[in-house]
Amino acid sequence: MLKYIIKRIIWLIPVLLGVTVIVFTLLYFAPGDPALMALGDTATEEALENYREELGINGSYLERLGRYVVGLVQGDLGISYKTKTPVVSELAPRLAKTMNISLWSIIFSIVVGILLGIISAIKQYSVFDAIATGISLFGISMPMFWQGLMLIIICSVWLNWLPPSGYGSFKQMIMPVLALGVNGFATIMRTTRSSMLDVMNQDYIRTAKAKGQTYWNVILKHGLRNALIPIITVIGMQISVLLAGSTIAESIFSIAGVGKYMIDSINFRDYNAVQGAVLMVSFIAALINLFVDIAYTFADPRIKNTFVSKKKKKS
Amino acid sequence: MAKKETKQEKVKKMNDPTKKVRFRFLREIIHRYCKNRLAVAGFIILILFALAAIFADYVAPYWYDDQDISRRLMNPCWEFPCGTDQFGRCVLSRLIYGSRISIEVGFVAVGISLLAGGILGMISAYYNKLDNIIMRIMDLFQAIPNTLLAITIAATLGSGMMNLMIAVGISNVPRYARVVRAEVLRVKESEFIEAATSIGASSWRIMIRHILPNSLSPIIVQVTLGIAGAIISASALSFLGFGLSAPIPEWGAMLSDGRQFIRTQWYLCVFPGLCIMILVYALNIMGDGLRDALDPRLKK
Repeated sequence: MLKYIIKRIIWLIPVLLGVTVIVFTLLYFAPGDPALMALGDTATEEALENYREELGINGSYLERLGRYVVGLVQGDLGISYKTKTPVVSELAPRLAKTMNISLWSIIFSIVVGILLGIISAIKQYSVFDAIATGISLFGISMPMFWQGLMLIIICSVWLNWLPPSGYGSFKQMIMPVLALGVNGFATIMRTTRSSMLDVMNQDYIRTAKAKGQTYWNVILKHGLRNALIPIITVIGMQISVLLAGSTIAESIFSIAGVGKYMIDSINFRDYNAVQGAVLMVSFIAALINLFVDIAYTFADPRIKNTFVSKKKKKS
Repeated sequence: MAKKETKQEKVKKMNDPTKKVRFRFLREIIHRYCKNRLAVAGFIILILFALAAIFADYVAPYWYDDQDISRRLMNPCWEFPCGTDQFGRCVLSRLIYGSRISIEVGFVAVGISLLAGGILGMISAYYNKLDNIIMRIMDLFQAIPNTLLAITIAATLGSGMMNLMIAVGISNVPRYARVVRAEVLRVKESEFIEAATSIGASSWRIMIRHILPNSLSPIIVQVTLGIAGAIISASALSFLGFGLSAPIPEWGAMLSDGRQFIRTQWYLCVFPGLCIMILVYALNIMGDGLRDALDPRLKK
C-alpha cells in the first residue's frame, strides 16, 4: 500500500513539470510586451531590456523556461509585472479564500449528491425520485455564472436575506458555495443513482436481503460500498471542475481569491501572475486527485493490484 | 407530433453516408429514441432553437444592434417581451440572434475537439508505439482544470469568434481522444477487423471503413453532451470577458453586461441565462436519450 502511494507521489513530479511547460508555452505566445506597456513607445531598446531583466523575462524561450522551472522548484513563481512583488506572496492569502469556498462546496455536493442519489435509487420511480432526477438534470444544465446571478437576484435583491458580495461571514459564504456546488451535486447525484440502481439489482443484494440483514445494512454496506467506484471517479472529476469554477464564482461575488486575481491579471497582461495562478490551481487539483486515487484503493482493493502489476511489467 | 419527429430524424441520419448500410438497425434506434418522450422533447427544443437561429432575420422584431436611447432599460411589456437593455436594444431580438452564435460556437468547438481528439485517439489506439506518448500528453492537458485551460488559451489568442471556438475546442481534445481510443481499442479486437486485416486491407481503410462506423455510438453520445458543455464554456468565457463582446449578442456577454443593472433590471440577468439553460437542457436530455437508444444492452 505504502509503495503504491509513494509511486503515485513520484508520478506527480513529471505531471507537474509537464503542466508547467504547457502553461508556460501557451502564455509565452500571449500578446503584449509588458516592458513596452510599462515604459511606452518612446523607451530606448536598452531601457526595455533592463526592464525585462528586472522582471526576469529576458532571453530566449528555453532560457526563460529553464529559469522558471528552477525558480518553481525553489518555490518561486516569479515577479508580478503589475505590483513588482513575488507572485507567491500575492497568491498565498488568496489561496486560503479559494480553498475555503471550494472545499465547502465540494463537501456540500458530495454529501447532498450521494444522499439524494441513494434515496432516489432505493425509491425508484417514486415522486421523490422524479423530482430529484428532474432537479439534477436542471442542475447540470445551468451555467454556474447564471446560478450565481439568480441567487443574487432572489436572495439579495428580492428577499434581502444574504449580502450579494464579499467574503468572511457565514452569510457571505452561502451563495458562492451553493452556486459552485449545484453542478457538482447534480452530477454526483446522477452517478450515485445509476450506480446504485445497477448494484441493487445484483444477486448478492438479494442474498444479503435473504440472509435477513437489516434494510440499511443492505443499502449501505452491500449496496453503496459496491457502487462507490464510479461515484469516486465522478467526484475526482468534479473537484477539478469546481476548482476552476471558483474563478467564475469569485468574479461574480467579488471575492479576492486566486481566480479573481487571475482574471484581473489577464486583463492587465500580467502573465507571470496568470501563470502562477493557473499552476497553483492545477497543482492543487492534481494533489486532490492523488487523494481520490488513493481512496479508490480503499473502495476497491483490486485496483491497487492491477496498478502495481502494470507498473512492474513496464519497468 | 411523434411521427413528424421520426421523419426529420430519419432524413438527418440517412444523409450520413457511414450509416446507410445499417438501415434497419437505424430504424430500431430511432424507434427506441422516440419512445423516450423527454428525449423527443429535447430534440424539438433543439430544432426550435435552430429554426430561430436560421430565420433570425424574419423572427426577430428588431436588428440585434438597433439602438434607441429613448427606450432604454424598459421593463418587459407587449412590444418588448424581454425588455430593453441600456442602449435601448430589444433583448428578445438579441436573444434570437444570440442563438445563432451559441449554436455555431457549440457545434464548431466540438467539431474541432472531435477532429483533433478523434485523430489522436485513433492513432494511439492503432499504433502501440505512439499510444503511451500521446496518452501521457493528454494526461498533462487534463491535469489543468478545463475552464482554466480554456481561459489561458483564450487569453493568448485574444477575443473573437474563431478564437473562442478554438479555445473551447482545444481544451476538450483530451476527453474525445480518450473516448475514441477506448472505443477503437474495443472494436479492434473483434473478428471482422481480423478478417479485414487478413485480406490485406490497409490500416487507413480499416480505420475509416471498419473501425470508425462501429465505434460511433458512444462518440455520438459524447458529442451531444459535449456540445452542451461547449455552449456553457463558451458563454462562461464571454461572461468573464475573454470571448465575444459588444455589440455581438452572445448570451454570456449579455449576462455580463446586465450584471450592473442587477438591482433594478432583473430581466437583463435572467433571460440570457434561461436561454443557455434551456438549450443545454435540451442537449443533455437528447444525449441521455441517445445513450439509452444506442445501448446494445437494451436492444431486446
